[in-house]
Amino acid sequence: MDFGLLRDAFWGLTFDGLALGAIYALISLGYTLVYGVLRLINFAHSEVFMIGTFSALVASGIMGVKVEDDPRTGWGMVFTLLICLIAAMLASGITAVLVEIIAYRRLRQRGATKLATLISAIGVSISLVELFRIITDSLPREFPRIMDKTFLFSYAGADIRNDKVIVIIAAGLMMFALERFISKSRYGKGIRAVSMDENTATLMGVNINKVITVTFLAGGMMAGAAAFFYILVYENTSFKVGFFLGISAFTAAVLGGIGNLKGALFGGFMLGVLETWTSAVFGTAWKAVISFLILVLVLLIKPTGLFGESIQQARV
Amino acid sequence: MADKKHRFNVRDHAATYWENSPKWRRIALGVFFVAIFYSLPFLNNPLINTPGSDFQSVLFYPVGMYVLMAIGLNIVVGKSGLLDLGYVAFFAIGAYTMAILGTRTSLNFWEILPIGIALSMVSGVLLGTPTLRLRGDYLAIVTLGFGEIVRIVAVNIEAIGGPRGIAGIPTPPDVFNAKFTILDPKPYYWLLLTFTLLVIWMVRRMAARRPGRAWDAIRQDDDVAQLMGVNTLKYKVWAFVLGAAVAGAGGVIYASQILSIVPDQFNLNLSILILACVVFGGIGNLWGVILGAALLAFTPERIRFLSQPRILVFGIALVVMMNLRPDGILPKKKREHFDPNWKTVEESGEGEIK
Amino acid sequence: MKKIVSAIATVALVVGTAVAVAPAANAACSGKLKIAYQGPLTGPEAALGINELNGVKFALKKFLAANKSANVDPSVYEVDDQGDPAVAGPIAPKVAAEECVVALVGPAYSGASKVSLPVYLSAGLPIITPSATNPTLPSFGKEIFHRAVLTDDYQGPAAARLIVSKNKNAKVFLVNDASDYAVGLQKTVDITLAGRVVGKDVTPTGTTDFTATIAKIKKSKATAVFYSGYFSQAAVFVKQLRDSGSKITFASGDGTLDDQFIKLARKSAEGVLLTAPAIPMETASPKLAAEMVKAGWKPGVYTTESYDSANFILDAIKAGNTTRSTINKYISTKSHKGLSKTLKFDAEGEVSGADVNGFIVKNGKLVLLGAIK
Repeated sequence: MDFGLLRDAFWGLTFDGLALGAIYALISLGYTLVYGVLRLINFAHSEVFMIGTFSALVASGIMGVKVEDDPRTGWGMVFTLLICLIAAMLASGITAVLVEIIAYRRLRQRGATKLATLISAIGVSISLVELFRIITDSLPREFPRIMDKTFLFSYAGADIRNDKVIVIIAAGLMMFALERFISKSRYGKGIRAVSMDENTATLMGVNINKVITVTFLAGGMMAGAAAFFYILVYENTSFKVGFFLGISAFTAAVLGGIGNLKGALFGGFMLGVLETWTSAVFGTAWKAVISFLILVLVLLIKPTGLFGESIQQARV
Repeated sequence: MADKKHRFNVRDHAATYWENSPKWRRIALGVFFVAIFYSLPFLNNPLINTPGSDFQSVLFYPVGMYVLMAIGLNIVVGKSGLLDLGYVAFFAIGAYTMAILGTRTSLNFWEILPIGIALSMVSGVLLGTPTLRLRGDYLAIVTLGFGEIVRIVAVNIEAIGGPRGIAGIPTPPDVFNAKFTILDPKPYYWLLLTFTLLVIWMVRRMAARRPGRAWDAIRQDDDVAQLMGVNTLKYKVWAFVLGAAVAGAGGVIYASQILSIVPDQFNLNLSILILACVVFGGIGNLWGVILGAALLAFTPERIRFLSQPRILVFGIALVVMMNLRPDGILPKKKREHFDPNWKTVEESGEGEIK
Repeated sequence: MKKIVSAIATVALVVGTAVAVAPAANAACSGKLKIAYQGPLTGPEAALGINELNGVKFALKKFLAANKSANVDPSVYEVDDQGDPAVAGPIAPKVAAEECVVALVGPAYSGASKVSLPVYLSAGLPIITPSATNPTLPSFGKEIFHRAVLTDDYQGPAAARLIVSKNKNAKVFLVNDASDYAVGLQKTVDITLAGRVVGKDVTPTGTTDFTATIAKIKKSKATAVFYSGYFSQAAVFVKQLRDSGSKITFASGDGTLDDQFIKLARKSAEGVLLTAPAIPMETASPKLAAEMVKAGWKPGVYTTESYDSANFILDAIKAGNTTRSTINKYISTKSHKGLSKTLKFDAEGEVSGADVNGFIVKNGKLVLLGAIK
């Protein structure tokens, strides 16, 4: 256990943790939205993320960016990056909607048991992972460096890198946009209505199917953005990238209070920072264990999460 | 009300046949089938042979082992409706018990077996008591976490072998001249089969009595069961612990055959695979689960080309099964169909105070 | 009616069972002798397995071209264990039961070897592994076990010496990926480096974020980091290390020695030091390497060693040995002058007089530095 490291590298670790947390926050939005509306843990969400990373990769390939190339500059760079971001968001969004239609819709309409829906979700998750494992022949893929990574400045021993700053700020902006959407737009109101009381919402004329589709689309697009930011910072992806990130993001959603958007935001950042701190103290090997333990502790002690407002109780 | 035409249901048919048979016929059938299963290793039919791997070996693992574990998981998921995604953890605990005690003490297999089962049961209690209060989906995630934690801990702790695992696990001592060696899987298979039959017998007995009814009630509606006075937590933990015991026993037997184990073998994929067996066979349905497990374990070995995308096929099968045939391949329809001969109390005139 | 149906069904079942239980065919080898290769031919490690398999195929092709009348099967008996002991377990008895398989090159991976060895020992099947480097393997069946490379007990110290030779005052930080191979390798590096080790960390396979590890490294003021593990994670690690501004030496073992590493890490791979108890075929014999490419197979890591192993077995067959026990005796006692080294196995099946080679990544290519003294 190395608390000294945490003390010495504190700000550096915190900054890096925030960048990781931004990615978690975006992914966790998907979990929290779907859970709020359907009371379902969307196991396939981690694969929605994974597909986003590959889409960004493919998009960069289509635009002719090769891995060996030097980083680009100026508007060319911005343009390339934007295309990749949009590609990821679109692909993830569409995947999420397809998942809903193929795996959940029928069960939902038939009033199937929770167990059946969960198993269907797991089935989708496994299928997607395996599909990509076969496609990529189990090998990881790297993403070309489109934007050069430079250190902007140093603060209290922390090296502030440009890509991480972008990720943190952009994630914040996206979440702000989503929050506006949920609170102001018609669909957003529909989503909130359904999450509060599905039957009443139907009676009031809300088109459930459309609302659910939009929910998945929104969550998926957030995950797609997360995928782009992930690949920007880490520059690689593989078929199994979704698993641990998904678990952490879900933990973040629970930590913040499932069903609560603000909760997902704070939960994400908080978990990113917590994970980085504990990795420094206990060693990277225990990171996954720490994540799970946090999850279990939250569920046992305060299942409604930090911000409460859990739409349904966690306990039976 | 309309009279629904009875659709041919294999399981109900077989069940009716069984119930209508006189005792001698039941015994004969029982003996017959048991004999068939014991003589399976001697089967050498091109239709059944597994190219690429040894048929007798395959009978033991994965077929026999998956069947046993599926029966165990069925108690948890099928009968009680508790989604456990970390079932492999108990299997690992059993295997590690055999590995550690077998290589570091002079205990033999028979002495280690009850210890392995006990340890798994204790883990079941430790994991179950705090978490079984949680709702279905949360329970799923937490159990998944537990499964992963067991694996990660096993990898990170050098004292129990770390990532290299443990090698040189001793084989069981001879039983009636049957030698347990690596080259001959038959005695292992018979051992596993005997144990499985014991478990089946035990499960059926429990299902018929109060635990079984309690599990049914919990599965159908936890809140109502509580209201009716069922101590749901106690029975949930029971189901959990029993499932853990079965997996633990399987782990001990497995380790004594494979002679060396590595922690990465006990991964999430295996938990999902066993879950797929339970789902595929028919959640809650013992015979369906056995058949499902046997099929899912055997088919990729038989059709080698299926081996590579095997997990993909399982994933798709899970989705398809849940959407089209949620009751599995041998669905249990007896309680659900409308029987025109069934009269309500008023109609039958019974129960009235005359 | 129902009664008749059930009666017929019962009879059919019994008859079917009786027919099915036919005595197992048990023939001695009546055809050509087969050489088997066991390793990962599918899955993430497949590249290594295929490299080795090609070495065996090439050796077999050349042998049959020169000995047209030899009673040897021209195709290699391929055993795909995916580098996974769980897969190797049920496969091994089947291979052992194949009467015509008289020798096996492999298994490529130590984990699979551990599981397969006891089976092959019982069946008397001699094996030569070109790449399984776990030092404890002979204890599982030394009578039939032979290894054509040095174990990690040698690679580790060699790697340590390589690092120190570049910088006498090197301060080394050790990282491993918690795999069987990595933990073993790191142990020997650790012992040899002794006082120069300034810190350690474990990053299990699947780690994508090395922030904490890099922070640790910076704090320890290490001048070099040695990573024990495999190429895909090594690439991720070295990239993040370089992106954090660190220019310290990065070294790794044979698990990273793969073209994929350079592909994945690109510029960050520049200057990386690598070690392996293997020699590229292009260096050992440019002529044969070119010939192999012409034959349709590109040599890779451990191709040379598997080529030598296959040739040793073929030597035995050429000398008139046609059974497992006689081939085993030949391999265990005689020697074979191979491309990588002279194969002469001691009582434990280990080879001596071999080197661990050092490599460096220069201009995006793997360059051999030479044997590490």
